[in-house]
Amino acid sequence: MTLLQYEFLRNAFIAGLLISLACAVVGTLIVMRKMVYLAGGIAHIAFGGVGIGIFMGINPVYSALAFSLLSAFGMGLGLKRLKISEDSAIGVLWATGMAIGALFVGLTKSYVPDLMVYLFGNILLVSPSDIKTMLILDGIIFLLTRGLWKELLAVSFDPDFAWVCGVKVRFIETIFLIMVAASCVILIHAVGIVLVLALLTIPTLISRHFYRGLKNMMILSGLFSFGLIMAGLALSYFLNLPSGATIVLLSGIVFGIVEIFKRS
Amino acid sequence: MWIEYIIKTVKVVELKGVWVKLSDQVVLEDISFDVFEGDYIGIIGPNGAGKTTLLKVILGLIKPFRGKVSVFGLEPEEGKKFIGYVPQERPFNKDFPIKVIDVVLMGCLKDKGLFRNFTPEDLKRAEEALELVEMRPLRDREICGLSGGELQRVLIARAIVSKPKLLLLDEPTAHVDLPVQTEFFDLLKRLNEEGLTIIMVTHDIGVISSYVGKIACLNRKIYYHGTKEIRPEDLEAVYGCPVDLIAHGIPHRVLREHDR
Repeated sequence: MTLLQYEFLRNAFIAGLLISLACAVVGTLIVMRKMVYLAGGIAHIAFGGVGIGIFMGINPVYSALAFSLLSAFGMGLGLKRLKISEDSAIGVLWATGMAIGALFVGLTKSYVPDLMVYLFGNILLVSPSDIKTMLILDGIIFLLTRGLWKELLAVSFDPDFAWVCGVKVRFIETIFLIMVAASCVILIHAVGIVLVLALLTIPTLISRHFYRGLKNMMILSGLFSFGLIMAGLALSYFLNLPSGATIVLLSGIVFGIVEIFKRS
Repeated sequence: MWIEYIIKTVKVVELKGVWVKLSDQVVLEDISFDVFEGDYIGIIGPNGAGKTTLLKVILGLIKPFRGKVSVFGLEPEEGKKFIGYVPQERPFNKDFPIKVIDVVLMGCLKDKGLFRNFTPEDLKRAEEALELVEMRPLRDREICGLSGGELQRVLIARAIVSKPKLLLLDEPTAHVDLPVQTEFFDLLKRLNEEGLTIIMVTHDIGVISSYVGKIACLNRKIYYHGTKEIRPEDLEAVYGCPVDLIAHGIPHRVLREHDR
């Protein structure tokens, strides 16, 4: 592959692999747990972190990570104690996070970088230091999933029973939200905050048609997301289109085709 | 022998003057209720009588604002490790792609720390529990493909895999048709005869079959005399109207002789 001689293409390839791992593990869990909306909330709250990072002149990826981890932590501890329904609370946090980001970007007197990169992603701009961050986050996600597999399964399936069995349900839920936050930050590189949900859901939804069993679905949705990212990237490269949007659109089209095909 | 004597006199569950509020509404009122080892108690009452809440109080999932709960002489948080629990219906995520055997293995979580996998021993116990409820052939099926009766049996296997001393069943027969119910009660009877204490909650008087040892009526307040018979006046108090006890045309033993 002569294409891989270009450094940015090689980086994009590695980033695609790392993103697929996050999609496979966390995407499958949030879809099967019906927590897609919550993941969307965490991803958008990350924009608050992006704004703060730009304002303070630090790498927005780090501040986005800190901000979304913090919000995941807060949600894990507080969401169940609220008197309002969980999804309205998420709606409030979603918008508030975005507003914080917009506010800090507005307050920034110095040069404001292109926000499109954070909102809609550009996998071709992934730097070696980004890859390092993604690798670490993937590692954390992988280790937590392996180590807490039986608790994650129990809490996902039947939290009451898990509690009766002595599982610290709220602790495990918080850990899970932290995994979601980590994968949102990983995905921001490829498709941006606004489009994160596409890659967290579509590969899993497609793989559900072909495979049963959580582990199998994870493996298959990892393969699907890698395939979709690479195919979308190639399309955007040859047609000179924005990569994030192309990846998501391609995923949406493939999803639609599979859905129609499997239904009839 | 004296140890056996002590165990027999230890109350499995003891509720003293328990009051419970759920979102500012009193759902349980001054409940005092003792359960002894080997008891097989059916608790009946209409929908919304607080039956599930009562079980959750015993499990420690809901805390009363007044009164005392002890389970095997311990706080519910401690005592819950001796309890097997079959929750009402499907409060859980039925679409979650989890296999039968993995659901039963959840019952083995009790003595496992984080970052520990289930051992081959756990797997053996889970398979034995599945064997007991005659579900072993379906061990690798996904839960969403099971019928109501099959799922119920899986949940019982999950509850008994940890060899509990007390089994709590919440509406165990809803969505299970009659032939399966008979099988199901046979299984419970067998477990009870092996020494398991059972508390079963239901809104359907018809399912209080001849197997249940003692019957309590609940509607915010509890009416319990530690006996097999239901007093018609208790039923009336609980349901707010006279209830036809021979509901399904099946001879029940819930009534005394029709002498009064």
